[in-house]
Formats: sequence, C-alpha cells, structure tokens
Amino acid sequence: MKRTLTANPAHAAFTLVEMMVAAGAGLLLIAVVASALISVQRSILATSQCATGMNNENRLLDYVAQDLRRAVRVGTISSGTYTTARNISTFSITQSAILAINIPDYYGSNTPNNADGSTFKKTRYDRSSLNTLAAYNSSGVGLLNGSIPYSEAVTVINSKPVPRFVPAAVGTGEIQVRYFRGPRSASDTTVCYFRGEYPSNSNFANSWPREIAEKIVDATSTTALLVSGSSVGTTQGMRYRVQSSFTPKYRSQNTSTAGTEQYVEVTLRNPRRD
Amino acid sequence: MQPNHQSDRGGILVVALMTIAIFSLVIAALYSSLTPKYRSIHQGVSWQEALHGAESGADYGLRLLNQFAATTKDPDTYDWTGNQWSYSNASYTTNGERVLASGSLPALGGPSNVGVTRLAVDVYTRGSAAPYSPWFRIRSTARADLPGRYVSADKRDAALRRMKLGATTGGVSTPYVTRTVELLARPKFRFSRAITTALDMSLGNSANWGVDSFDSTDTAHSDPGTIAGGVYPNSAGDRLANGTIASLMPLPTGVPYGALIDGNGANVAGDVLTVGGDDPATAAHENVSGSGGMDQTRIRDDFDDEIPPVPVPSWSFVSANPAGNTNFVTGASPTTRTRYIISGNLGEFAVTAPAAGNTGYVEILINGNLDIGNGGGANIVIPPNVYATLYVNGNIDFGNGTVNANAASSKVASHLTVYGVHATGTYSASGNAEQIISFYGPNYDVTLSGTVTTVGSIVSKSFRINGGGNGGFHYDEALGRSGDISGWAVASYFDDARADF
Repeated sequence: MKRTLTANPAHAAFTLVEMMVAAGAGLLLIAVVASALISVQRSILATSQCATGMNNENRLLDYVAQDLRRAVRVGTISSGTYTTARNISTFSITQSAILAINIPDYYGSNTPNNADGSTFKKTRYDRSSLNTLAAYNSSGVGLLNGSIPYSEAVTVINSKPVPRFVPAAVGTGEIQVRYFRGPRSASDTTVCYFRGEYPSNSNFANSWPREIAEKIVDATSTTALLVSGSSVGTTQGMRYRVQSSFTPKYRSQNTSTAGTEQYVEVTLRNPRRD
Repeated sequence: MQPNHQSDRGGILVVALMTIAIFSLVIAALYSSLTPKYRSIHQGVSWQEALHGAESGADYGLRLLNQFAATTKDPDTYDWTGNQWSYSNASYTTNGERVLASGSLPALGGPSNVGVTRLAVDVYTRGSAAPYSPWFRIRSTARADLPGRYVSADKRDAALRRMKLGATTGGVSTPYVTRTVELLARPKFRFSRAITTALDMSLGNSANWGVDSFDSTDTAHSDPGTIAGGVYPNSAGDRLANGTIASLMPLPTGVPYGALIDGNGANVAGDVLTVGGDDPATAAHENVSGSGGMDQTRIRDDFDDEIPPVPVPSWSFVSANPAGNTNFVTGASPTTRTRYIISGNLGEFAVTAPAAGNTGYVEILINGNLDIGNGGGANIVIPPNVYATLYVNGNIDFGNGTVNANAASSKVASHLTVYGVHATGTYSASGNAEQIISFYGPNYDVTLSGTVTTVGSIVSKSFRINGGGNGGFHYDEALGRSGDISGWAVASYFDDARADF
C-alpha cells in the first residue's frame, strides 16, 4: 500500500524567517518585560526612599515643633557658643550647629524609666503628692494645704509671674533639648539626627541622645533640618518655621535635583524667659 | 490517529500564569513595603489631631475660668458643681482635683473620632498672702482613632507618638493615640500695671514728672505708713522700677507702624507696652513718641490684654444712707459688707472706722457724679482698717483734693477701689491733688492737670496729663498680687509627652 505523505500545516517546521521573527519578537518581549521589571524595581526603591524620607521629615518636624511649643528659651549652639535665637533667618542643624530649646524641667526625674507611674513619666507635683505629702500640707493656713508653697512655685521673670517648675534650691527649672546631626557611633558612620536632653547648664546629657531619624545622607540626597524665626512685630521670638527637605530618587541625575520640602510654623505657648 | 494539538498550546497558559505571579509578587512587595510607611503618615495625622483635641480641652477649662471671673469675685466660690464638675477624690477638696463629667467633655469628632477623654482642674499654688488667690492647673487628655492596629514602619515613630496599637474594646481592635496638655492659669488682677488705657495715653511733660513703683507690703520698698501698709518711699534707693504703662490703642487702618503712646519725655521706670506699632527693621521704637525718659530695652509692642467694662451693680439689699451722705459705716467681712446707693451726686465724704482690731468693708454705688470740689479741705477719708469700693455711674472730679491720703486715711491704694461704670465718663484732678487709689474705668477719659500725685493704679479709656510739675505716678506693686481678679492668663503650657497613656 502506498502511503502518501501529506503536509499537515500544524506539523510544519518553522522557516528560518519565522524563527528569526519569533526570536526577535521574543527577545523584544523579554527586553520589554525586563525593562519594566527594572523600572518597577527602581520605582519601588525610589518610592520606598521617598516614603522613608517623608516619614523622617514628619518625625523631625513633629519632634522640634513639640519642643518649641513648650519652650521657654530658644537658642543655637555653634562651635560650643550658645546664642539666643529670636529673629534668625535660617539655621541649618548640623553636627556643629545645634538647635537648643529650653523646656520646663517638668518631670520628677529625667532618667529614662518606662515603668508605669515612674517619676520619669510623672510631673514633679502630681496631685496625689500634693494631697498627702507633709511638705505640702504643713501650713497653718488651711487654704494653702494641698498646694505648692508660692515661693517654691512662682518666680518673676521679665516682670511676669511664671512657674519655677522646681524649687530654686533644686535647679533652674529648665532642661535643654538639643537637636544635632552626626554619625550613629564611632564604628557606624550612618548619619542620623539626634535629640538629647541636658541639664540647662551642662554639656552632659541626662541620658544618651535619642536617634530620631536615620539614613538621612546618601549619594543623592541629604535630609535637611532648618529653623527660622519670625522677624515680624509681635511674633518676633515667638514664632518659628521648622523646615525639612530631601531629594527623592524619582528624578534622574540629569534633571533638576530640587527636593521635597515640608515645613511647620510653631508659636511658642509659654512666655519667653530670655 | 490524529495527534492532540491542544496539548502543544499549554505553554502559553504557564507563561501567562508566571507573568501574573511575578507581577503579583512585585505588587505585593511594593504594597508590603510602602503601606506601613504611608500608614505612618496617617498615624502622624491622628497624633496631631489628638493634640488639637487636648488643646481644645485646655481652652475649654480656661474659658470656663474666665466666665467664672466675669460673674464671681472670689475664685473659691466658683460654681464648679453647677457646671458638671466633681472632685476626683472627695477626701481632698480644699485644693483637690475636679474633673468634668464625661457627658460634658468636648468631642471634636471627624474621621479620627477626636475627643477629650479627661479634663481636670486643681489648685497648683496660692498667693502667699490673703486672700491666697489660686493658680489653677488645667490638665486635658484627648484621643484620636488610629487607622489600624498595624505597627509603625519605624520604631522611632512609636517612640515619639506612643500609640496604643494593641488596644481592644469588646474584643474588637480599637487602636488609638492620646495627647495630654497641661496649662497653669494665673489670676489677672485688675491693677497689674501703673497705667493701662484702651486708647490714647499722653504723659506729663515736665522735667520731674515720672512713673515708678514701690511696694506697700514690703518695708524695704516703702516708708512706714499706717497699719494698712507702707507709703511711697522718700529715698530713691527704696523705690522700684515696675511702673509699667500699657495702651491698647490700635493703629490706624493701613498704617503698620507709628506712635501709640505719647511719652512727652516723661521718666518711666517700668515697661512701656503697646499693641504693635514698632518697626522691627529699625532700632528706634516707633510705637512710643517722646521716649527719651524710658529704658529703651523695656519698650515693647507685644501687649495683649483685655479691659472689659464693669456693669452697674444690681443690689437687692442696701443700707439706709447716713445723714449728709458721709460717715458711712462698714460691715465686718467682704461678704457682710454694708452697701449704699446714692441717688444723685456725692461730694467729699468719710467712712467711719470700725473698732480697733477689726476690719471694715463698704460698697457705695453713686448714681450721679462723684465731685469732691476744690479747696484744701476736700477729702475722701478711708481709714486704715477699712476697704472701700465705689461704683460711680457718672463723672469723677477730685479737684485739688486729698483722696485717701490725709492723716486719717489708710494711704494705701488697695483700700480704695473706684469703678467707673457709666457708658462714658470723665475723671479729673488738678492743682496739688493727692490721690491714693485704684481706679478702673475702661470708658473713662482721665485728665490730670497741674501737679497731681497719684499713688496706685489707673485703668481707663484714655489718660492725659497737662503739665505734671513735680507730681508723679507711683504704682503700688501690691495691687498686682491681689484684689479683684479680672480673668485668667496662661502662665505655662506643657505638652506632657511622657505620661502613662
């Protein structure tokens, strides 16, 4: 029986041209997909860097704004010299240019202790102490018992009666919060921003300064922290702008390197003491 | 037999699935990486909203204190109970903590359900002398819902914001964040400065006229006086330099800087305060003209206060007026003081001293002018053991008389308080008048002519000295520590970031 081979189109081999076209199309597809994946990867990294940067900005602004709101003095320390800061144009916080904000020495202790009810977390004059401690309940005038003696509680600064926060014999009633930038440690050069609390007349911190933002310097971006004071009339020395910026990696090196910028304006709530 | 060509096409499905899987993984990675970071931003927003809530609670407490002050003189009789406040510990009520009922706490609402969760007021300290005026402490805590219980992207955020991410209510996750703000409110006394005006102020232009201060309760800064207290010291070394003057005069529309107090070269030993007017770009103080006699470092333009008028009293019970409307008698305490209403004008008068060792209190409403006339014998006599309060529903003219300043008088300004309660009024004195007084009349134009000596404090609509001679204005600093409380000012603000939440 003679068999006749007939060409089945489904089993037909590819021609060279078809192979070339298919290979070309395949390579093109792979290139497109690879390119897309690389772009997506870059986008993820850039977006992640952007989100981290924005979080850093928010946190830095929130920390500084919180301390400014409750400040009683605002100054800068450059090359170890403290200067009162009122009408400052722009002060960039670096390792040697430190923002110094004095806040009330409000707590019973400034040694960190996160236990519930610790003196680190309670006001020096909490109500239960005022109710019960003999120091606040030994007056012959009944009306005065359960309150802080006036001479211990109040002083006059700039003609205004203001709280002492601590008895005169105990301290100045202020602690100084310092913001600065620097490497995490001698062995870890990652640049961070730090917030440290110091006795108002000392360079020895109450505890190790807390790291409040990391990865603030990389090849293309440095997160800046700037403070400027209002120069306008009655707001002079009472209103500050805190500003932070960094450069997202969305932009290529060949285009503008203008960064994002967030700022907050803060009005001091307390009468200044300087 | 025909081959199954369908099986040759399965590769496309696999490739498609793998592609979808890869892109799904990419999207998942992106989502898991970025979502916490953007959630952190949302958490930060809630943290800020909680602060707004806490500050609104503190404002609520301060506003209530000021409302009390507008109607009640004694801060120890403020109607806390009637306003839904109760003691948090009934064993400690003298200066103890009061809390606002939960149903009355301010609720701000919004997507984060912001609301005050606790608002407490207690007495922080009291003045060192009677009436031991309190400083109140207002402590406000507010909360805001968080977007989810997921942890923050960065432990530093948790350290700052101290969020309750694991909180549950009835087994349901209800993460939240709280903020606590503490204010100290100090009393604002009506007479906390030498001279305060709502509008213009023009000081004496003679070479010797000036403003300074002393302290009638401090023997180091006063000369021996009466049992009521010391008098203005003769020795310049005993005098003080807190004779602050302040004006609420507004600038004309469209004028950013300019003179709001006319100093006329007067010597002012104290702060000089206006509301704006000083150009920060210049060293000069444009807000005060003729400021050569002032300490330039004490001229400021950040004055901020209110001097609301005092209404005409409405008394349900008054005593019969004494014959000739003089020799008014007193009651034994501030709450049992005698009250008189004079229909028409009142001239010079005296208050009869209570028995030695006692203190007397009297209040007189004059529905007319208080005009003691001219002449060396014109007097208002307030004995040393008497506190007198006058409400004048008309004009005041002390001529060149002696007001609370002769030998039979207290010679201390806190013992004679005069309120000008008419809608418009004038206050005048002239010649060699001597007045030891605390005067409060935000609707009154004060004009002093000649060599008038004033000891005490004046709050008025305007203040003008024609001449001045060897007279002067001597503020008694004791007035700034006691007397009527006109309101409450924030002495301290603290955002308690370490408290247990």
